[in-house]
Amino acid sequence: MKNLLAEILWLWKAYPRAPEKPGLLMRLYYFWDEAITPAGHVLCALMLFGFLFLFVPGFAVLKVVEGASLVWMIFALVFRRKPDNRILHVEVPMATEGELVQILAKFEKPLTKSSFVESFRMDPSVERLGNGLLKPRHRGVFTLSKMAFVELHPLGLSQSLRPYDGMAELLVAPKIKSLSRFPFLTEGASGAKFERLLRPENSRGMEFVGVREYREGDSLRDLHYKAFARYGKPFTKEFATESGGGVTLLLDVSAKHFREKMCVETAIRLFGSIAFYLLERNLLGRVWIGNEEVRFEDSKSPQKKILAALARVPYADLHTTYTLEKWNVLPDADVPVLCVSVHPVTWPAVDKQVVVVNRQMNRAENDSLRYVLRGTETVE
Amino acid sequence: MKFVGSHEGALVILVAAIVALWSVSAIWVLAVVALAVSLWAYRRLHVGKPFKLHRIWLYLGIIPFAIWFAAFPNTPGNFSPLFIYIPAWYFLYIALVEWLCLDRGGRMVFVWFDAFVVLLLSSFEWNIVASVAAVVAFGTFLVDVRSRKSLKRWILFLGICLIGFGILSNVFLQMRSFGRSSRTERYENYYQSRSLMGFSSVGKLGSFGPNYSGKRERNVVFRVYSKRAPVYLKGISYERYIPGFGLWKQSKKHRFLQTGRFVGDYGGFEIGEPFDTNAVWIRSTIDLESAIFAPPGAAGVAIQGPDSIPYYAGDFYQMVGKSPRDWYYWDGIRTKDTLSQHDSAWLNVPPALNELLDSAAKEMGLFPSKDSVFSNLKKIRENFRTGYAYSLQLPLSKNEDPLQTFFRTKQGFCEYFATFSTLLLRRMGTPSRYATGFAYPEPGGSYWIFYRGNAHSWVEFLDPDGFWNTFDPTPSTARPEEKVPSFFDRYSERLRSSLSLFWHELTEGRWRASLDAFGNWTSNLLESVVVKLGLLFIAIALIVWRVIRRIQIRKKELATLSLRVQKWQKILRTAESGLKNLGFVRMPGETVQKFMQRIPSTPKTEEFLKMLRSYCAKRWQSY
Repeated sequence: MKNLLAEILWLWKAYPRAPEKPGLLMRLYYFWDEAITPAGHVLCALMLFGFLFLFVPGFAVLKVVEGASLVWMIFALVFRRKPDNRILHVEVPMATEGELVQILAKFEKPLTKSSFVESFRMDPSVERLGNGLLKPRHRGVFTLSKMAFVELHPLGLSQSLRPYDGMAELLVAPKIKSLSRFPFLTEGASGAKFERLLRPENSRGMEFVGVREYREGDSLRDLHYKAFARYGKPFTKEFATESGGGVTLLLDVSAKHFREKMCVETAIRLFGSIAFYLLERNLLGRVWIGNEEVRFEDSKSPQKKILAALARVPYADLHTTYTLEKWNVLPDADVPVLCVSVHPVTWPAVDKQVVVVNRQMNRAENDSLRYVLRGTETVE
Repeated sequence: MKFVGSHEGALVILVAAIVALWSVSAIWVLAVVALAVSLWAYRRLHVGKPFKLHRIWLYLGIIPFAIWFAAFPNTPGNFSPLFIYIPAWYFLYIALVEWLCLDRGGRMVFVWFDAFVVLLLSSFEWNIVASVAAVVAFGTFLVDVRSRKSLKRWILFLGICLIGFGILSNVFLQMRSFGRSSRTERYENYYQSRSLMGFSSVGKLGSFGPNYSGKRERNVVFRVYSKRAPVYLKGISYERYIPGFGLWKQSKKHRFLQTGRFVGDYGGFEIGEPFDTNAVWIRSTIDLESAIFAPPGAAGVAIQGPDSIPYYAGDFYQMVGKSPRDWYYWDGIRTKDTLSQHDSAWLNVPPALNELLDSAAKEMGLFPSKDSVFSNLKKIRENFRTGYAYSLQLPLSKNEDPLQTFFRTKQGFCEYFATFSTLLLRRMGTPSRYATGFAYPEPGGSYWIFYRGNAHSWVEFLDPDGFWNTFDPTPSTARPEEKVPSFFDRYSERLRSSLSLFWHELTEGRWRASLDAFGNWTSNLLESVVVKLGLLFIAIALIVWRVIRRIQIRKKELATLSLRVQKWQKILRTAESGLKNLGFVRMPGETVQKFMQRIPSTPKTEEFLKMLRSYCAKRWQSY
């Protein structure tokens, strides 16, 4: 029952909330949103509400209120002047789903008290909080098609816009939770390739670079005893590691039906967690999303690159289908490959795979295949 | 910087709404609570601690107001203003919830809108306090939302708007009174449009004339919500004719009817068994003198308010005082009128007209016998159809009776036809009476419309079996042609009728009786033991559910930790709890090692110290 409810809820949320092409009603809404301020909305709504009582005996005063509201709104909408300031440049930092992001803009003239930048006609999943502050609910790439410099009418009931000439996009990365342990990686015969990389003596160099907090699984030989004695809790010495090599990660988000599509977001977040886990331990090699490689060798912030790539993964919704017929990378005896997907894959290059599934059923697991329930953030 | 109103401005608007609603509804308890909540919420907003909004509070909050709406006591005869004020209190509740949760789900735009709706609904029976509060609220709103760029420009724009509004209002008022030369003429026109002449205790021949011509002919007078068309709607019937003046006088004989069965809040006054127990509702659009219109032979009427009404000989009802704007009637089974059965008054003919009536009877070939009643009626009708013309302009003379003019010129309208026929039949020995009212309604969809132009007079005669019947002597060709109304007239009439019926059903409909019963049932239910036990059960279930959730959350937390770590954490907790009882508490941030160092080794503490030592030694081991 719980699963059925979850599926119904997903289908409900997956239904598109905005039309692809705006029709008449949508254009009326754009006018309502762009030309009228919240105070103007109150007055207009009050006018419409008041019509219900206009012919009811006892509401004589209402006629005065309705008339005044009508006059004010017409005046406020008709007598609007185009702003004399404009936006020169816009910068939109990368956001994380569920967190706030501020649009940064540069203006031709200094901002006054009643002017601000705003982004209109946003996707319904991005909440506008005013003054260029946005709160995206889920990851993705959102084109800011109508950013504008906005100036309030003196009465405060309407506003006039000067659209920004350029284009910008809002990149929203998935929220990644850190993985404290990943025992699946070294399990069984298929784990041998991974274990070679994980042994500290294999990856560890001789150059001492610092101290960090002890984590489960660290070698006792690397304990920093002086720090332990001083602070009463264990610390591990860090050494510079050799570069090159590492685990190849593959993310396959091809989904055939909606039950698999439901698991794509969990797969993406899990993939990000695993990538960050490997990056922290300097074990990450190549990263593939389908047949496209994410390159970050020279990047100062590989986490950001990975997040940006994950943000651009197409959103699995009802009317789009993404398939991956064949992964073009050849198997390599020295390079371990871990795949995260929503259905089991049979490519020879893949050594281990984590499959995100919708329902708990009796599925055959082994040391190279692990099933994870949708919504789980760890791999046990 | 985008500005969505200040907290202070919103507080002023909310307080103004509370004061306005308090002054009109006089429910001081709720007002004091609302005021306290709004001030407390302002304080919390000021220190940056708003609540998080859960929409379920708004949806569930409607339940107590709905119960209040359904269960408040009925006020028969009056429209209770609580119909308006209870929704106003609910909107105030929503405004306060949004205010409490501002910026954490609540939005200023909803605080404003809900507060203004409260002010709007408070204008229903507005007083000076409510109007001042409304002005303060609107003024604060306009000042608060203005653009901060330039105060002068704001003052200029506001001034232009106010002047513009004033000019438009003036133009509108001028247009309404365009064409009226004086106030007197305006009042006279207003009076004529709102009242109906010709249905008083003394009826003058010719008083219907203005109804048939002029701009008010198509004014709706009655709407009768019945599936069966009431061909006639009688207002009054007259007993005695005064010759020379053309006056009819009604009979003084009457009896008072007491209330019997009720139709909702309308007390029924019945004279016999109804043909159909479903009462028919009539709505009048104008002021009537005292007549209660009903079809001839109606079994009774139902009116809101009076305990008794007079029922007159002549089979009609009247009010003591002004007529109501709406009432019910029941269609009657044909019965004998016991009040006037054998009254010789219905045979009364003024002697001055005997000669005239004899000449007319001779001309028409009428016979004074009981068996000739129906043949006389036929002859009268045929004679009027062929020998008389319908005309609203009768050349009356001071020297002769209007009926003499009518007979001489062979022209007139319904009043003259009916009067002459009544007196003719009386002369022939058939008891008759002259009746006035409305006739031949037009269909309006699910109801029937009587216009001013449908005012009519007819004759009621007693047949040989002892039953009163109606007879319309006016030639049918004289009836006004049914005019096809324009689309706008039809649509606006239908809208007005629907609104009228809807308001009637809402305020004085029979469903209120079942709601009163529902109100009694809910109050009994709330006092019953079963409900109290049920509430107790719900409370216990909530507590149990909370406990189970806590346990589930704790299990989930523990699941992320290995068994070994859980074991050592448990040992540490046991040791800390035991040492706390002995007065040793580990400070926040203090390591276990340091903690151990300050605990003296005593028999009581030794056990716990052992636990701490083994914790320090083994907790951080790797396997």
